[in-house]
Amino acid sequence: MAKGDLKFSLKNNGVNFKINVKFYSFESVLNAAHVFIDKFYVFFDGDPKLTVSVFLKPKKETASRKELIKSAGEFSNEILNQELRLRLAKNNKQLREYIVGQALFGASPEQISRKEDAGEKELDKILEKELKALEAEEKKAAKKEKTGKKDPLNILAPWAGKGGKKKK
Amino acid sequence: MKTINFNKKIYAEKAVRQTIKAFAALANFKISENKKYFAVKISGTDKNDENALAGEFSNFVLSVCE
Repeated sequence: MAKGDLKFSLKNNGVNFKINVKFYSFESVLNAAHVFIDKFYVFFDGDPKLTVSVFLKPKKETASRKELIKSAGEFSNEILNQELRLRLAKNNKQLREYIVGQALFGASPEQISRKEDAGEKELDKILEKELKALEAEEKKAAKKEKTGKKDPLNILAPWAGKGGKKKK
Repeated sequence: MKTINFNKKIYAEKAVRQTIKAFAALANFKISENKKYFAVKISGTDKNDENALAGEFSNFVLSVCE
């Protein structure tokens, strides 16, 4: 076995291997075990501060040597996965708490009624502006009617009266 | 009869006792302890079922551990 390879031993139709808890937190090892408990029986022994011994026994009775070795490797990879998850959770804790805090604060009844009031006021302002614009337009139209011609483009005049010729 | 040893440094006694309660209908469980381990003796089931029961018992303890 090359240096750095996973050291394991096969016994009782299961695989036994050790994990150095100096490199990984024991919490990650436990979390990885939770991922495996639907397909394996997981047994721990050792010292959670130094080295933990893991024994994985598949729930199905016949597992080949290859499968057992593979599952030991997968367990080790899962520990890395869980380690990353823990690290991300730790790094983003403050941000996550801030987001949740803001969401809860925003959803409180006081905040909602304030927002509704603010929304209604804004809507009133918009409506007022629209009304003023309509009134101004109406006034302009009324002025034009009073001062300008009634039919500036001569639309109301009959076609024949405009000097058009009918084709025969 | 089958005995499972739970390392005291890893498994909490509370979790083991809680699991015994949960599994009480399936077999007889007897807990004892020494310096390093909680030992749970399982009896009252088929020998074939004993291994599976021991495994499930161990997984349950693990899931109850905080």
